[in-house]
Amino acid sequence: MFDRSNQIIVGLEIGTSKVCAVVGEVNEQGALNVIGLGQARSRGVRKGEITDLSAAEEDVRAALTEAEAMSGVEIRSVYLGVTGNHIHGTGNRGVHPIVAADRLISDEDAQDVVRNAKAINIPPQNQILHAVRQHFMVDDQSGIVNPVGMSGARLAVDMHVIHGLAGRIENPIRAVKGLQLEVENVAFNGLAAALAMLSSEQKEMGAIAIDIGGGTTEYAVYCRGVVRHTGVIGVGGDHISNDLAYGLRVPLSLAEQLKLQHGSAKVDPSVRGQSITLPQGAGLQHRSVNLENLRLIIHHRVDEILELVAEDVIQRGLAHHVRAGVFLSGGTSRLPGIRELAEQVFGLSATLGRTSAINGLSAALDQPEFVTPIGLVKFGSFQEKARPRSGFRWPFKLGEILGGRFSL
Amino acid sequence: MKTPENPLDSMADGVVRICVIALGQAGIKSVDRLAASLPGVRFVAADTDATTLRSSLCPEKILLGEKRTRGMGTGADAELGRSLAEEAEDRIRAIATGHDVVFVVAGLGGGTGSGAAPFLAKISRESGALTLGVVVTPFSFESTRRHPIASSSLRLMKMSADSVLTLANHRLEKLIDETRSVTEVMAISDELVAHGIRGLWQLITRRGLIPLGLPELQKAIRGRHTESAFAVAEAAGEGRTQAVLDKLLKHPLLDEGRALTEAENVIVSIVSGPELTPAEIGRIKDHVQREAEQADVTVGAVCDESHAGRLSVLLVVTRRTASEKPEILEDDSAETFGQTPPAPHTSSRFVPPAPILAGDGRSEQADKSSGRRRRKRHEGQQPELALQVIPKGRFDKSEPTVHGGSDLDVPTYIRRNVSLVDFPSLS
Repeated sequence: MFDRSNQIIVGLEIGTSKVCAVVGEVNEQGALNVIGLGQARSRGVRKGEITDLSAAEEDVRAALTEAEAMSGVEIRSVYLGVTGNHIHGTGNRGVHPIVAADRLISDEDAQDVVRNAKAINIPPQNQILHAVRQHFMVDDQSGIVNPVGMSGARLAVDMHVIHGLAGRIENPIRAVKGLQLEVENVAFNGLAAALAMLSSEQKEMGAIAIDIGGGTTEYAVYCRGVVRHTGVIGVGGDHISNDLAYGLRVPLSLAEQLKLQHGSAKVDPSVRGQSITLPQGAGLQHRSVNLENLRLIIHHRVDEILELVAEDVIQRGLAHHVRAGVFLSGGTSRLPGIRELAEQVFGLSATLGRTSAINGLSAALDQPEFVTPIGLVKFGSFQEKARPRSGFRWPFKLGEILGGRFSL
Repeated sequence: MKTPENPLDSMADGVVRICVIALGQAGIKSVDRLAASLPGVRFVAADTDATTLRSSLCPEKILLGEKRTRGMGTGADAELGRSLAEEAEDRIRAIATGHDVVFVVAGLGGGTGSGAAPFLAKISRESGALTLGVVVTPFSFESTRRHPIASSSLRLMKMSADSVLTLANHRLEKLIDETRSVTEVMAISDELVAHGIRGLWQLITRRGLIPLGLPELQKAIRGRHTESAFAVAEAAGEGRTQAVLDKLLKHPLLDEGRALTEAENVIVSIVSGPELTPAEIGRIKDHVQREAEQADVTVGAVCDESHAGRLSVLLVVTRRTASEKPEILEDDSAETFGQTPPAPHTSSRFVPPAPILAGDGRSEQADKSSGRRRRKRHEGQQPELALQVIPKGRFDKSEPTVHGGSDLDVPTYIRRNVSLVDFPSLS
C-alpha cells in the first residue's frame, strides 16, 4: 500500500443490473494494467440510483470480495461512479479582463478566468461533480489551449460543468463507506465510459460515447479533444424488459430472458409471422409469443433512447462537429442490430466501444459492460498522477469529493 | 356523386356533403329534432322496428331485417342487430358513399344501436367519409344488462369510427332536477345530442371570418380513433362571454370541464352576430387554453346576422381513447415496421383502441395493473372515466422518468401508437 511502485486503483460502478469492481495497477513505468474484476447482481438499484441501501451494500461487498480474490490485493479505497436522471451537464463561459498594461496574459489571469467559469448558477441543492475546462478564447479568437504569455484584452474560457443533487450523489458514497472503505473520488459514469472507450484522436475528431446500461443511458460528446456535452436519460435495458413484459404479457423474468435470447433492435422482414414457443408451466397464459412483436417493442424503445440522445446533441449544435462516430457501451449495447440502428439514427458510423485505451486487458474483460468501471480506473489513475504523493495519503474528505473540481 | 336532395352538392364549390344516419329508437328521436332544420344534410333513419321508423321525420328510411324479424325489433340483442345490419350492407354502403362527413347517431345499450352502429361506422369509413359516431349511453335507471352491452359497443364504435362523441346519460341525470319526468329527461338528452350535431354542422358548413371547417375537424380527429366530447352553449346580453364560458365548463358533455384538462385538441367555434369583438374571441380562446393546457386549441369565428346579440360557442374536445388493451388485432392500417414511418412522437400515453375479440382475461389483466401516476395538476379533478392504466411494472414505485412531458417508463411503442402486428393466440 505504501509502495509507490505498485499503485492500486479500484473503479466501482454500482449499476442497476450489476455491481462491478475493476482493480487496476499502475506499474513502475506508469502504465495501467487491469489485474482483477469482481461483479455481483445488483438488487438495490433502480435507474442507476440506490433504492435499498443495505442490499446495495451487500452487493458491493460481494463484488469487491470477488475482485480482491481475483487480483490478490486488498481493496481500501475506490473511485466511485455515479449516475442518475438528476445529473446534468451544462456549459458555462467565464470571462476575465486583462488589466495589465502590456496586455500580457499571466498565469493568474488564466486561473481567474477558470474560477469565473466555475461560478455557475446551479440550484442550491446541487453539487458540482466535474468542471471540465474546454478551450480558452483571447479576444474572440477561439480554440486556444494555453493562453499564458499571449496578449489580449479579454480572456474567456468555456467550462463544461456536470452537477447533480448532492443528496443523491451521497447515497452510493454511503453504501461504500458502510463497508469501511474510502471513496477516493466520484466520477460521472458517462464521462468514465467515454474515457475508457475514446482515444485522443477520436476525441479530437469528435465522438459521442453512449453507455446504455440497465437503468440509465449516459452519454458524453467530445469535440476537438474536449468534452462538450454530457447527459443522462433514466432509461435503459430494464425498460426494454419491462416493455416486453407488458406488451407480450409475460413475467418480467421471462421477458428478460426473451430479450437476451431473441432480442434485436431491428425488425427483420424475415421474422414476420414467426413465433417463439415459451416454456410450459409457470402459469402462462399463452404458449408462444410473436417474434415480430418482440422485435418491434425493442426497436421502438432503443430507437427512442438513441433519438433522445441525438436530439440533445443536435440541440446543442454539436451534431456537425462529430466525425469519428458513435461509440456504444453498456450491457444493452450487446443487443443485436443496435449498431445499425445507431448509424441510422445519428447518420454516423457506430461502433461497439472497446476499452482499447488501457493496457494489459485480457479479452475476457474487454466487454461492453465493463467499460464504465474500467473508465473509472482510468479516471483514478489520472487523479493519482495529478496528486502529489508524499508518504501516506490522507483520503479525501466527503466535502472535498463532492466539491471536487478538476480538469480532464 | 351528387346526392339527390341538394343540387348544390358538388366537390368543386367546396360544399361539404353531410349525411346523418340515425339508428335505433334513441338515434331517431334525437335526429328527428334536426331533420327539418339543417338544409343540405341528408337524413337517413335505420331501425329494426317498423313502428319507430314509420313515425320518423327523416326523409329516407331503412328497415333492417325485413325478412328475419319482420320489423319487430331485436329485443335488445346486439348480435342480432349487427347481423341484420350486415345483411343490409349494400344499402348502407350506397347511402354512405359520396359523402364527406357521416354522422352515425345511436343510443347504445339496446339491440339495433349497439349492434349496428359500429358496423355502419365501419362501412361509412371504408367509403371514405369522415365518420363521427354520436352515441348515447344508457341512464342508470335502465336495466343493468344494457350497460355492458353499451360499453362493449362503444369500444367497437371507437375502433370503427374516426371519432366518437359520447353523451353519458347517467352523468346527465345528476344535473337534472329530480322532479322531472322520464319523458323530460330523455328529451333533454335528445336535445343535447341534436344541439351537438347542429353545432358541428354549423362548424362544417358556415364560412367564417376566422374560417374553421372540415379540414380542421379532420385534422383533429380523423383516423385517430379518438374519443371526443362536444358541447354548445349560448348566451346573450351583458357579460355573455363569461356566461358562455361558465356554461361550457359546467357542461355535462364535457364532464363538467374535466374533459378539457385531458384534451389533446380543442376546436372552438364561435358564432355570433356582427357585433362580435376580437376581445371576446380572445377571452374565450385564452380561457379554453388555460383549462386545456396541453391541447392544441383552434379557434374559428362566424358572424351571422341571424345570431345578432347572441353568442354561441361550440367546443369539440378530443382526447386519445382509453382502451382496454394495447394490441390492435385487425386494424385496417396494419402498420408494420419498414413500411410506414413511425408515428409522430406525441406526448399521448393512450393507446389505440383494441378489438373486442380478445378474451375477458386480458382486460382483467390490464385492469389489475397498478395505478398510473397522474400529474399533480390533475389531482382532485380526475374524471370518473376508467382510463387505460399503463402498468409501469418494475418502475411502478420508482421516480418516473419524465422527458419533454412524456413518461418514458411507459412502453415506447404505446406512446408512439404503434400497433403490434398480432398477438399470440390464447392457449
